[in-house]
Amino acid sequence: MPFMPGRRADADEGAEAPAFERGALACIDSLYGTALRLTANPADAEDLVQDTYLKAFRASDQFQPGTNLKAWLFTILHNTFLNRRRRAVKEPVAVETEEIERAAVGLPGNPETPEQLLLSQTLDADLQAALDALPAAFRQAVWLRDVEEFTYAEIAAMLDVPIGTVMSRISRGRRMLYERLSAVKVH
Amino acid sequence: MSCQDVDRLMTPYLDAEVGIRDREAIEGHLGGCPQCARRAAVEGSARRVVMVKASILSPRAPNALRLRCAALAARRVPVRASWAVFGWRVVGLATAGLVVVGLAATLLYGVVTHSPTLLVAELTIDHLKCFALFEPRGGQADPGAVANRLQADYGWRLAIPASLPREHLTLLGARRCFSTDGRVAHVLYRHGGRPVSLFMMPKTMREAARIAFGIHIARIWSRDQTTYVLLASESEPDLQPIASYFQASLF
Repeated sequence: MPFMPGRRADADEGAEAPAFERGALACIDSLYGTALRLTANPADAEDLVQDTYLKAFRASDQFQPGTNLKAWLFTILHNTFLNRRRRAVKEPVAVETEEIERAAVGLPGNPETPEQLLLSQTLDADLQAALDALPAAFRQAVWLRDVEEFTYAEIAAMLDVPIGTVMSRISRGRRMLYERLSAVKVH
Repeated sequence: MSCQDVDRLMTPYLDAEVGIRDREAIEGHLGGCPQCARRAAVEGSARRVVMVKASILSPRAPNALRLRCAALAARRVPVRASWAVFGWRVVGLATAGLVVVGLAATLLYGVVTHSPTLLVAELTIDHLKCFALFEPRGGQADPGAVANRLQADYGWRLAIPASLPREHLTLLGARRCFSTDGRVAHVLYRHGGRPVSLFMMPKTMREAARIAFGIHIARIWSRDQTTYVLLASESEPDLQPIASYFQASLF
């Protein structure tokens, strides 16, 4: 008889693994969008996302059920990205804050109110370009907070920096973003 | 509150992460400090425009990437534990491919509840997967035993059509449908050796329909608050007597 009585299938046992995979795969759009911001290249972004999932599935036993799966995946994504950058040794990972601050100050201001300028007239393409032009550390902080809505603590864990640094980068990133968008409107 | 204090709290203030007392103190300071007030306006505006535009800033992942990542997940899905109660043996290396298709379908289509075509697409994936993954032990199953087991395990009270030797139709067994988050009973048959699936969805009603999906044909009908989907890769003339038998047996 193919339909054999026996051990009743534990609903959680059979469902637990697929639930983890489904939950992880549900974050793919967010992961891809963030990867695109990190790499600025669609092919590299796809590789980064795929690499992230590979590592996540291999390390799934390290994930604690009930905690933020999305934040856990994003931490893997950022660590993977940083490791690739270090291997490539293309540019320093650390933020050179003084230089960036001077560059930000050099941008022209705008007599209109900030609210009018940005909310009513910002083109999508301008915003994309302005975000992409931010220094990586600031772009990551603004993105993770204002787009992906992670907490400061989660962002700090992902980027492996203190919470105070996260807030500082968010503040500077927003300021620089505003200045860049203002410069677009002036011209 | 000083400018230095506001500097430290500006970001959490704009993100509504400060307590009432701090917020009032900050706003009191902003009212008298143009420099801090300008900074709050600038950063607040940038924050708002990013949040408002968040949906267009984050593109959808390409379908090819979705399928590749679903394939990675498929290698991890432990199929044996889910089917142990039925005593079915896992066979073949088609597991990864079919589960990939199943997970990809879930990613691409979501849980199917409305379109009959999408419902049939999802059930076809489950039909292919189950017949490829599991080889039943022994011969035909007893419909009473199958029905009792479905009720005991999932609370479903369903009538299970028995084998029909004159039509070379053999009942193999039943399981919970994987593709639709376990809300559908999947009864498996063979008709002249070819796989035939009868899906049962308690507490749902749909209009009758005939759907072709690839080489598969599906018949959908509902009665007494249950929807049935008969699915097979057979021609309409070959499927008709089975459909008639099932419809007669279930009422």
